[in-house]
Amino acid sequence: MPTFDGRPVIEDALSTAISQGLSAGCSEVEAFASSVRVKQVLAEHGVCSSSKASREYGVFVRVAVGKRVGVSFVNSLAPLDVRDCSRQAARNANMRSEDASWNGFPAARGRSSSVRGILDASVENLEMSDLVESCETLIDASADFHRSVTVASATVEVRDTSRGVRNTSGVNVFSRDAMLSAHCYCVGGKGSRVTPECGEGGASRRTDIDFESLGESAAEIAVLSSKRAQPSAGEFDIVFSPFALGYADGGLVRSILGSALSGENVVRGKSFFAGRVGDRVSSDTLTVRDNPRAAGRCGSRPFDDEGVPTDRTELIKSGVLRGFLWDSSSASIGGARSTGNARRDPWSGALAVRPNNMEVVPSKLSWRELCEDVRSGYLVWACQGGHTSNLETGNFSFVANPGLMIRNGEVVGGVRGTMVSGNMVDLLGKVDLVGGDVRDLGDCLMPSMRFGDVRVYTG
Amino acid sequence: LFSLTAEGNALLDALLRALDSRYSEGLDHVELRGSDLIRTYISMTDSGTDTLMHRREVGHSSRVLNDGSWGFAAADGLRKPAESIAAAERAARAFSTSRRRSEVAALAPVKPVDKAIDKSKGAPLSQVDPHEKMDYLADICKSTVRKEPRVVSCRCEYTEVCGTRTLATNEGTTVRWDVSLVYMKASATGKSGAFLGSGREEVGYVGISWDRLLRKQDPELVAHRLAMKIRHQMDGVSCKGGSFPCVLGPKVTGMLAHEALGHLSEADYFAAGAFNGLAGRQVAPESVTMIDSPRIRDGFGNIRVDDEGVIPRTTVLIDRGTLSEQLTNREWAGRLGTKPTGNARAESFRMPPIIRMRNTYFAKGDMGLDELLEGKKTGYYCGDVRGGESEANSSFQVGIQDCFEIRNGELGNPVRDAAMSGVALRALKMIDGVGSEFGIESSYCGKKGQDMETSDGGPHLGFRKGAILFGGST
Repeated sequence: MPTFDGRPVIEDALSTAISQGLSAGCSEVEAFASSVRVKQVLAEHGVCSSSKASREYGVFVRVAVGKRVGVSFVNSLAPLDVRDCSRQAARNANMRSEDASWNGFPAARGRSSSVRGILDASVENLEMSDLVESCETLIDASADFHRSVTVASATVEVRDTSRGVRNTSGVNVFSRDAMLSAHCYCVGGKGSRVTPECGEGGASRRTDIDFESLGESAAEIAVLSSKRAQPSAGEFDIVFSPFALGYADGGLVRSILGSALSGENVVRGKSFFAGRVGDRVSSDTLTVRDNPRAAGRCGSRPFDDEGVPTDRTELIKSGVLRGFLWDSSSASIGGARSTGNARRDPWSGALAVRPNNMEVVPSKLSWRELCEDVRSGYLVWACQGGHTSNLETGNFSFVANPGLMIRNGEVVGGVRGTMVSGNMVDLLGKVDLVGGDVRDLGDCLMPSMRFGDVRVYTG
Repeated sequence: LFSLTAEGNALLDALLRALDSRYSEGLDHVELRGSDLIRTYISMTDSGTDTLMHRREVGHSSRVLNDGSWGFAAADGLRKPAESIAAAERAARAFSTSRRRSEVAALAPVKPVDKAIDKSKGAPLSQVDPHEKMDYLADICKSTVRKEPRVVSCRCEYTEVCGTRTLATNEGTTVRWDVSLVYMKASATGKSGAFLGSGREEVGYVGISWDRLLRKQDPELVAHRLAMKIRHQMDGVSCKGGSFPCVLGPKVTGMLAHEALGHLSEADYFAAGAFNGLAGRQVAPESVTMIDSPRIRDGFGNIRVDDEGVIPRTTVLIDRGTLSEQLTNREWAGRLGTKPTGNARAESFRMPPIIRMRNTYFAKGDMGLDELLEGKKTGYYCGDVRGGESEANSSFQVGIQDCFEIRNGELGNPVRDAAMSGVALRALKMIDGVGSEFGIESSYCGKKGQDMETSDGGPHLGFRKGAILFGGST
C-alpha cells in the first residue's frame, strides 16, 4: 500500500477551520487536524483470530470570543464539515461564561525543529501479512519455550499518524510519525491452577522489535509463576519490572509520579510535590526527565497538541525535584512557561498535561541482576489494580500479579494473594537500584527498579 | 452547526446498498455497522466552566468472515461502505497462509431480526439548553465546596451521546438504534495541612429524559454524597493491612461480581481462566446466585439487541452456588454449541463487537445489614469503589473510596485509601451472609481497548476472615 502523507488535506482543513472561525466572530482560533491509519492483528488462545484496518480523520477546533472558549470536533476533513465544526465551536464559546485566567493561545516560538527517527518508511509500509507473520513468531516463541504455556492474547499493531496545528497567534506546524507495537500475554497451567496473564510488550519507531525474545520473556514469567511459592508478610526488597512501573494507568511510576509532576495538578492543589522544587524527593539514584526529543523513541514528538515545541524537561535530578510539566493554560496560572506537554483527550476534547516521553535514566543492569543480591524479596511483574491508587495522596495498594518470590538472588516461584502497599513519597526514598533493561512503552522509557523495605501483606 | 442525519433510515439504506454489492459475494458472513452520533461534553469546576465541547462522528465499519478468519475495517463517513467490505476481506485474507490461524467453523444460528430501538420517552437530552446543564453541574460544584470547606478543587463532568446506530448483515438482520445516554462524574479533592483526600461520584443512564435525570440526581444530594466522601477521607483512620472479616456494600459487591466473576465467565476469557473445568461444580454457598441481565431498572448496560443482532437473554452465571453459563457472542456460542446470550457489544463503529457484560449482579437474599455486621468483632465495611481489576487466576483487586471500621458488630471510624483483594475461587466459598437491600453502580468497563457502559450491583455481602485481604494505607 502506498504511503499516505496527508499534509495537503490536513493543511486545507486547518485553513478552513481558522477562516471559518474568524468569520463566525471569534477573536482567536486554533485547529488541530490529524489522520491516523491503524493495522492490527489480534491473537487469542494461541492462534491469530482477527485483523483490523482503519483510517481516522478528525479536526478539533478551539476558539475564543474574548475570554470565552469553546471546542468542537468532527471526524472529517471535508470543508463543509470543518466549517460546521468551527461554527459549533464559536457557538459553544458564546454560551460560556468568561474564563478570567484565559491568556490566549500560545504564540509561535520560532520554527519547530523536527525529531529524528520518528518516521521510518519500513514501519509505515508494513502490510497486514507482515503483522500476521510477526504475531506467529511471537506465539511460536512462547509455545516453544515450554509446553505448559498458552498465549492467552497477543497483538501486533502499526500506526502512522499525520497531524498539524495552526492558530491565529502564528503557530503553524505539521509532523508525521509511524510506530510498531506488540504485546503478548501468556498463562501457565490450567483451570484453578492457572497463572495470571504474564505480559511483555514494547513499541518502536523501527522494524526492530525482537518478537521472538518478547514471546520467550512472557513465557518465562508464566513458567516461573506456575511454580507456587509461599509468600510471607513484612518489609522486603522488591524488584519492579518496567511493565509494572510504566505500562498504562496501572504502571506505578508512570501514573502516580506522572500525576504529581503535572503543573496542572500543582495549580489545582492536587500534587503532593506542590511547593517542593529544590527539595530532595527521592534517593540520589533516581533521575527522571521528559525527553520528547530522544531520537527514534515512541513518545518523541516535535510539538504538543497546542503546537508548542517540545523540549527536554528535567523533573528529578539525582533525587532533587527540579520542575514540573506544563501546558500553556496551567503555565499562565502557575507563572511558568509551557513545556510542550498539552495532550488532548480524544473524547472530551479537554487539554490536560501529560508526559510525552517520561524517561527514568537507566543503569546497565537487567532485572535479573537487580534480583542477584536480594536474600528474600519479590519480583513484581505487574501491579494488578495499580490504577486505583490515590494519585493525589500517592497512596497505593495493589496485588503483585504476576508476583514472584526471590530467595537468595533466585526467582523461585509465583505467589498468590500478595498485596504491596505504601505511599509514593516514601517509596521514592527507597529507590535502591535502577536497571538498564529499558522498555519503550509508548509514552515512557522505563527500566526495572529495586526498592528496599516495601510493605507486603498476605492473606 | 452540527446536526444529525435527518433520517436514521438513510444510514441503514447506505449499508443495505453496500450489502447488495459484488464485494459481499462469496463471504461466509458480512456485517455492516453505521453510526451518526453527537457527543456533548461539559466540564464545570468550582471556579467556572472548564470545557464545552461537541463532537460529531459519522462512520461505518465492516466485519467479514472469510474462510474461517475475521477481518474488520472502519472508515469515517458513509460514502463508501462497499469499499470497507473489500478492505475487511483483504484483512481477513492476510491469514490465508498463516500456520497459526483460528478457524471459525460456524457462527451460532440466529433468526434475522428487523428492529427499530427507540430512545427514551420525554424530551431528548440533546434538546435541553446547554446553559441548563452547565447550571446543574455548577450547582453540584458550589454545593460540594459549601458542604465541605476543606475541598480545594471540584470538577463535575457531563457526557451525553445522542444519535443513531445501525446494523445490517447478509443474513437479513437490520437494526436501528436511537441512542441517548448520559454519564456524569463529580470529583473533588480536599486539603488539610499537607494531607490530601479525594473522592468521586459516578452515574450513567441509557434512555433517560432530562427531567428524570434531575429527579434521580438532585444536585444537593450528589454534592452531599461527594462531600461526605471527602470528609471520610480527610478524617479517616489508616487502613490496617491483612485479612479481616468484612461486609461489602452493593456497589462493592457489584464490582466483585463484575471483576472477580463476570470477566472469567466471558467465553473468550473462560478458556484460559480459573473457571475452566468448574462448570456445574459448587463454587459458592447455595445462598449465592449471580446474573448478567440485558435489562434492569436504571441499568447503564441495558440493551434490547446486541451488536450482532442477537436478542439478548438473562444469563445465570452462578445458580445457587453452582457455576453455570458463560457469556457468549455468536462465534463462541457456535464453538460451545449453546444458544448465544447476546453479549456482543462494540464501543463504536471503529471497533468489532466482542463479548461484554451488560448488568451484572448478585441476587439479593434476606439478611439485614445489622445481621451481617453482627458477630464481626473487628473488620471493615466497604461502601464504594475507586476502580478494580480482575485476572485470569481469579485474583481481584478493588480500590475502596468509602470504608468504615467494624467494631463489635457496629460501624466505627471512617477509613481512608483502603484497597481490598482476594482470589475469587477461595473468597466465594467464604461468603457468610447475603443481604436484602439491593443497589447498582454504573461505570465504563475496559476490555481489549474498548470501553463499554455497564452496571454492576447486588445486596450487602458478608465475608469471613480469610476471604478478603486489605492493603494497608498510611
